Amino acid sequence: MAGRLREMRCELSFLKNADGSACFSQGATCIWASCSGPGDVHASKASDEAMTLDISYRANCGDNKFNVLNNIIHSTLSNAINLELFPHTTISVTVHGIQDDGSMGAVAINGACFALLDNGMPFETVFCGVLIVRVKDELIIDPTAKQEAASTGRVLFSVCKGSDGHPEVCAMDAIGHWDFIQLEAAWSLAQPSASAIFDFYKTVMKRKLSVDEQ
Amino acid sequence: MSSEVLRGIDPRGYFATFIKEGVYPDGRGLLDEQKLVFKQGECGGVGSSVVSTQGVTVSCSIQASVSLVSDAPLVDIKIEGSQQLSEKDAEDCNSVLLSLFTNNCFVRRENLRCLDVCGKPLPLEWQLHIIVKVLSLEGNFLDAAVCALGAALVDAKLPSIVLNHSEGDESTIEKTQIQADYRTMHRLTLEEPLMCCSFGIFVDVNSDKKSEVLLLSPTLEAISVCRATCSVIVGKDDHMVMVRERGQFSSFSLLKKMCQITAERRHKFVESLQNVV
Repeated sequence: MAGRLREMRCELSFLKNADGSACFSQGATCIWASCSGPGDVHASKASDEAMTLDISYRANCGDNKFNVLNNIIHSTLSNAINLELFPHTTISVTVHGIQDDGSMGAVAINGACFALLDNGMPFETVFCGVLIVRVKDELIIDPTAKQEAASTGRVLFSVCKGSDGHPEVCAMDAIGHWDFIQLEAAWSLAQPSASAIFDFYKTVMKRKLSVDEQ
Repeated sequence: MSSEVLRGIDPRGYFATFIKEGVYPDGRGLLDEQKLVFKQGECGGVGSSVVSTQGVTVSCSIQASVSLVSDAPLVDIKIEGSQQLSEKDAEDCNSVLLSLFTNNCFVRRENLRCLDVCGKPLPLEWQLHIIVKVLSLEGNFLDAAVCALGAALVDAKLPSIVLNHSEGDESTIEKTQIQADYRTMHRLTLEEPLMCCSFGIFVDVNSDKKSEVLLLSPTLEAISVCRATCSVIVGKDDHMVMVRERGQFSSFSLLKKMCQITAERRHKFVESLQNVV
């Protein structure tokens, strides 16, 4: 059980006002992600060379002005999407945490990717998130909230497909006492999980597009 | 003249020419350490420090207040913004520093109890209010901020607390029953100091090898041409207590090299702190 992802579910295009939207869950952790744009950008934020990213993660309680996940999602999107195709525009990605049973960071990254896929953005590479925690020297993928609270170290990988098709690190946030061997073990554990998530992307997009063919 | 034109037109090619030879444009080696200068005890509060390294100068001062024992956070950090550090980046660094406290990387929560004249813990806790000011910013803010916080905590001296409230008394502790005795000062019991180093990973797209080159403490100009950046914070036993990597990279073993470089730098910092005390 330590090496398996919880069950993933996804529903696309369920918000009619958003250009792309996704309801994504892993186990009991659920998020809603929406994506609108490219669209008008305020003059103070406009960039003549690339699209401006407006990322917002919102928990379902407390202050939503700042969240630690905004930075890693922003960095991941900058790498994954070709922003230079839409200069002087902005794209707004909002992720709402509906229910938190652990691995919220990974689920938020996956949900954001689904929303962008639903929007039809020009991807350079798909990305996904994998959270690994260490509980008494055992590494656990996709932990529940209990396992996350009991952990002594956690590392959130944002994984993207490299040019050779293998998973590569796109961003990483590690906290806790890690030595390199443990971190390398966590990364080798994260790669097959990332491949499984990429396969899930393919399955969901196939299902979405097959409806259009009917 | 011609090199400046190249710098403006093709910054990536300009840097690639130097990085291929193993140096930065200013002549520094790619993995050469930058000087770190710190000074303690001049910014007020119970503890303070100024740290300057890698183009970043940060001052840090600690104010302390007494509070009842509770589950609330005992440390709050305010990073005063400047023109160079945007509010969003300040919030981001704030959450990084706070998570280091939450994970007991600087000082354990139980070591923030108030002590009486004999050194015995009381049912009161110190709340630390940390103010971080940016004096100059030409590199990564975290490099200097982590060292400034560590040095300020080493410098901190807290007074003894006299509590006129018997142990068996179940009534609420009144404000008038708490007094500070400045004749006997205590120093905090700290974890080992931390060290933060920033790295860039440069890939020359024109080269055949496409190998990833590790840069230590890249300048802001170099960061803009790097494919990935990484901040590594190393603590006790040379373990990485935090890694913050942004951007795509494929050689995971570079992380080991980053950890080693940061650990070497931390040892020097620890020796300097011990020599000062």
